[in-house]
Amino acid sequence: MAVQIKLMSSDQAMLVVDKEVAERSVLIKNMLDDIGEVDEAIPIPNVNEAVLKKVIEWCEHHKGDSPSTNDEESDSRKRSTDIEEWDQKFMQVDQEMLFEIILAANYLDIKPLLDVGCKTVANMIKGKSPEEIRKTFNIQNDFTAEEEEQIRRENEWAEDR
Amino acid sequence: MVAIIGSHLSLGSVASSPRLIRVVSLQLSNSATQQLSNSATPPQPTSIFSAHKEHRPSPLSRLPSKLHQRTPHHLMFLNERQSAMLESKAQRLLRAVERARSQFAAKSSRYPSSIIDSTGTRYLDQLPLELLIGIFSYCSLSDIIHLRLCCRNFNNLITLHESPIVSSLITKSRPSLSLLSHLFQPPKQANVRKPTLQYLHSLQQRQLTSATLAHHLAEAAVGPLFNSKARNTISSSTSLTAGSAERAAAIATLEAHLITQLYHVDHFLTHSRLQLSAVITRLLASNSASPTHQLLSSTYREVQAALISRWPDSALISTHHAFHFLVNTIRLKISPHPPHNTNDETVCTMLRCPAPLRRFNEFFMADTPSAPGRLRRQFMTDMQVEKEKAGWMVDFVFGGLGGTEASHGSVGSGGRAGGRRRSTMHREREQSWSPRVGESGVEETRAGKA
Repeated sequence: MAVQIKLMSSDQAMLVVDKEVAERSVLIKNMLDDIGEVDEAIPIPNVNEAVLKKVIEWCEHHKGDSPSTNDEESDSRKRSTDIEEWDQKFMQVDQEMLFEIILAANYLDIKPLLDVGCKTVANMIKGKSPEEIRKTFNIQNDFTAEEEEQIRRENEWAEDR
Repeated sequence: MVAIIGSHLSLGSVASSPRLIRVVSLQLSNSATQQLSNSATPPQPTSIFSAHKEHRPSPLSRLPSKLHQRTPHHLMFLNERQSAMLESKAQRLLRAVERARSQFAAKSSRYPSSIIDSTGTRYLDQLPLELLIGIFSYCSLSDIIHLRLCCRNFNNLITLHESPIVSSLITKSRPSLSLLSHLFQPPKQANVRKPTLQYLHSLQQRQLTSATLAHHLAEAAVGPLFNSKARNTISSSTSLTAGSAERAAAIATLEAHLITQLYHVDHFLTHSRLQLSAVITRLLASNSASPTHQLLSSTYREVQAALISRWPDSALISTHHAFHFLVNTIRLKISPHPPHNTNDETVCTMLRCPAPLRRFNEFFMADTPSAPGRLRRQFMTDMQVEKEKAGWMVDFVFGGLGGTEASHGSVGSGGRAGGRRRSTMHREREQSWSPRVGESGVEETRAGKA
């Protein structure tokens, strides 16, 4: 039977996962390598239960991935923001959850998940006008009209294609 | 179990107050973040929201890793009495951790943490800097400009971290810009090469120009083959579509091969032109007398040798062939009937102008039968202007000054074609010594040499 470990989310929820799954997180892997066998739950103070569950779901689906093929091969062939289908579905969550997943992936050091998250956000930016980007992410336009015009002028060179 | 206590204890010996523990855990997440962020991230990550990072005492930043290293050694020398002591200390520490956690929770609900804004609806601009840079580096150049126009935060962030963002854009871009950015290096700022957004734009333009020219050339080479084939076979609609698919595939294959070679051609033409201007300007500045033709052609040869010596061997021969292919395709297009050299002067002018590959593209555009007369006229006027601007340079580079035989060999990659060109170069023009260091200036030339 696979070795299991316990994780404790920031809101004190205990989650039991296979060691192999949890070790998709470099942070947890290093921790386990350092301290060896543990019965105690490992506290994950920055991640709440809902997000941690989501992250574990991703890790479970990707537990068989070999890290090298993931980076080298597909990266050089695929377009930079291609996301595999399962991951696309996985990332169909509200913005709060999306950004929580990104932060958790960053904290737990799960690079492929972080990449998927960043690509998802990048795809939400792509091809949008400044106004549309603001709307999508609920960003306040804090430029004065003159400032905005000046930046537009300074970046005119990019428009002549 | 003991291991956990041990690590708790050593943590506890440093973090005697709840606040410190929080700081340590903050630092933990910080250093993890730092590790993760890609290599493009600057060494000192600064949040765009400086207000949120008020407590991060820097001396503590190395604590966690040190603790990790020390823990196993401690454990090796534990005896009964010590472990009992550790046990009680650990209990105290766990209680302290609990207190700290609840305080932190209380505090973060009052002050929004960097993760979630109090309104709970703005997330993107609340992300840590390195993650934002990571996200931006998956965007396109025009997206970056649009992000700049979004709000002050983004504009400042992109301005401050322009080169790491651009570096990672270059490595991630498809089609790849790595080779181009190697051939055409980013501009220097205070002696350090810093890729800017404008530089990225120029690379993309070059890429586009090369790709377009590669397509034109491939079409010119492959097109006739398929046309004659089509004439020989009885034309039915099915074989025609099959033929055109085959033709498109052949063009695409040739095009893909030509692009990188055209990068090198572009590199050679652009840099040899700039460096030669720079050398001549220096010669003129140090010496009042006009340099002899021999000196000039030997200088030019040096410039060429220096340029191509930096190419890998694999690029040399293929580029040489691509150069011939390019020049001869154009010559045949301009003068389809023998002798093919009647318009070599125009070809030479195109080769020596500031954006040769773009000129060739313009030529192909104007040369298609369906092109409007306006395009042709525009091209001819442009070439006339270029001819006047580049006149003396063309003459001397391609050996048109009635000069020595030495100049014959100085035609570089186009050596053989150069010999033929010489005969038709007109020689009546007065040699005007007004070297043009040109718009890109000496700086770029020097940069290209370094």
